[in-house]
Amino acid sequence: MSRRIAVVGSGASLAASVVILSLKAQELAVAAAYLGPTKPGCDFVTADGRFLPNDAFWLEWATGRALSADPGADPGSSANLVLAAPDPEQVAVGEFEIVRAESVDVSVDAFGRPRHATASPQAHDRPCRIGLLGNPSYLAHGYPAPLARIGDAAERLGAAVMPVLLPSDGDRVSAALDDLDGIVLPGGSDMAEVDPQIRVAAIALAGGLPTLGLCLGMQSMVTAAVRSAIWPDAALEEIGGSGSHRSFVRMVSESGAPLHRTGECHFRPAPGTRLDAMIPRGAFIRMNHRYSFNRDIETKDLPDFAFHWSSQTLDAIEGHTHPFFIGLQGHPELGCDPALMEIWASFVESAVARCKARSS
Amino acid sequence: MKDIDEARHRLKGLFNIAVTPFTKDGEIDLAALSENLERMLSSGVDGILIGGTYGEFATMSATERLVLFRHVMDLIADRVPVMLCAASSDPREARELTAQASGLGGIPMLTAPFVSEVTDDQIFAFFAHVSRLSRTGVVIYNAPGVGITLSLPVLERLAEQDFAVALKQGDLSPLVIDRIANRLGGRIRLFCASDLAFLGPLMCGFDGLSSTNSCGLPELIGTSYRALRGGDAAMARDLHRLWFPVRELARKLGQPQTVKAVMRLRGWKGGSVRAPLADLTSKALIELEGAWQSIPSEWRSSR
Repeated sequence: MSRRIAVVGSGASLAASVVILSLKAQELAVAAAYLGPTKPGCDFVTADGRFLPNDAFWLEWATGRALSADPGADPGSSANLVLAAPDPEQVAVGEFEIVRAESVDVSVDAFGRPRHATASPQAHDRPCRIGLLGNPSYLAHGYPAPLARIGDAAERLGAAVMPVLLPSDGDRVSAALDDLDGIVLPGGSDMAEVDPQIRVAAIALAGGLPTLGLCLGMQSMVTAAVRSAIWPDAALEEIGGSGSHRSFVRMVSESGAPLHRTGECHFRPAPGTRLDAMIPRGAFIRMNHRYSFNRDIETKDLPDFAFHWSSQTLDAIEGHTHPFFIGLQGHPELGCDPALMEIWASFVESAVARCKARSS
Repeated sequence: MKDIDEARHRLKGLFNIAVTPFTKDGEIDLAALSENLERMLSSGVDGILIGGTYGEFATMSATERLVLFRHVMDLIADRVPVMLCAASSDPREARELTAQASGLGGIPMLTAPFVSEVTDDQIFAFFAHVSRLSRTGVVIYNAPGVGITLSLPVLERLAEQDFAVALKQGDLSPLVIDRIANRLGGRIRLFCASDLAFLGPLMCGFDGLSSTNSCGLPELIGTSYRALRGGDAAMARDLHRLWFPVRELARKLGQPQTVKAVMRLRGWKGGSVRAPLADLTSKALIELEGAWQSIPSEWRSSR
């Protein structure tokens, strides 16, 4: 029988390196989250729209269960966790209070996912290279979810995948893309990432590079598409600019009050699309956005794309004939709906197919 | 689960009322039960209810029920909270099952005593007395099927007590729901005891749903429930409509034999029912097949 220890809520802030050991049924899975000296970001959105430190991702990843709505109210959802740290006395944990601490040996794989120290590294042939565009330190440590999900998808497919953290401010981004088999454009709130994302999306669109966009990444992909077909100067309202052609605009209520869409929503793909084939029943996806697609844009002028609408906004875009050009307004890297892994698996599968084609 | 406080925090959401799969010889098929429970956990349920009415507790001996409790609690291992039905026509058995259920880390669920002319004071005293044996509190199961419906004054008295963690409410008529939601809400966790008509109670403020048909339709019922919780009532309504033909047949043919038959249609091990219940006849199975096929295909598969 597996050990079960409850982790209950408190109000301290994350301040030190923590290691989370999770025990799932008869399987030992080790989750590690290493934090630097800076205060970690709180971009992890829960199902009910709260924000927690980003490492809360590992708790859902390890247990497969959504974190509770009430701080400290639901130790059960993390009841498979033992909190361990090099020096437990120094650890104060965000929403959680240590019930027990012990020292364990852990390591992480190429996707930042924790592995038990006894696990042997796997030897592979030339791996498929999947890039993530953005700040490498942030992607590796600050916001681990997208990288981890690539690893989960690769594991599920039994595919040899090597992640490449691609700095968006590098001089050689375009050249680096030539060496990739797929690219992820992550979400985030750093507007300096937008222009590089739009450029990369345009290159990926033209070159058939499998591309998956998350939240802001999706907005960049859509903007690239709009620039190619309708407004060459299309831009996100969020980053300002002098032009008047906005691809994404501020969401407001009927009375003009700003809206912030957060929490878990049910995403149902448009029938007959690729996403529909992947997740015919839809999926529960976490949302965290204040800007939405500008409905003044005529989507009939973008015939190469399928649009997935919710009652509120454009929730996803996909390229009809592109090997894989899908962007989601939500965060498929978060949440516990197994359907979301279908999207990641399909993306990695496309990248692997491209890798094999290039190798032959 | 270690105490009442934890029980109070964790008892909410969608609970699967697990059927008890019996072999053709009437033996409990624990391996099949384990498979079914793992499937339910993977589907994202928030909790499990074991050995309830549709778990056919009335046909099992106390010993069998304890074996069931131990097997399930070991399997689930606190991944989700588990209600363990400790109801019995014999109060001594109810006490024993309550103590064992709590000792295993589950939450015992109790009906009123099976006595025809028992008074409200005696009902209250029964719950107060038996619950002393539980460190995780008790779930009050207001099940009209036992012949006694707990009155609102009794429920209000129980809701004032620490030991009463939740109420699983069987009578879901609109007036009753309105009163329970507004007079007991916030004082005790409220569970809608039937998935046949759960939209109303949840929108009125109930904290959770216990669902038997989730054994056979986990994707559809789970998505419908979560859509409603997320504020998308229209989607929940539309999804609930999709399985109306199956619901109607369940009302006509009875439970849990109908949901067990749905499970078998899906290649899952629902098993058989025990006498005096009977598995669906061939003719009934044909009717069920028709109702099942009326559900859109994407909701009839596991993916």
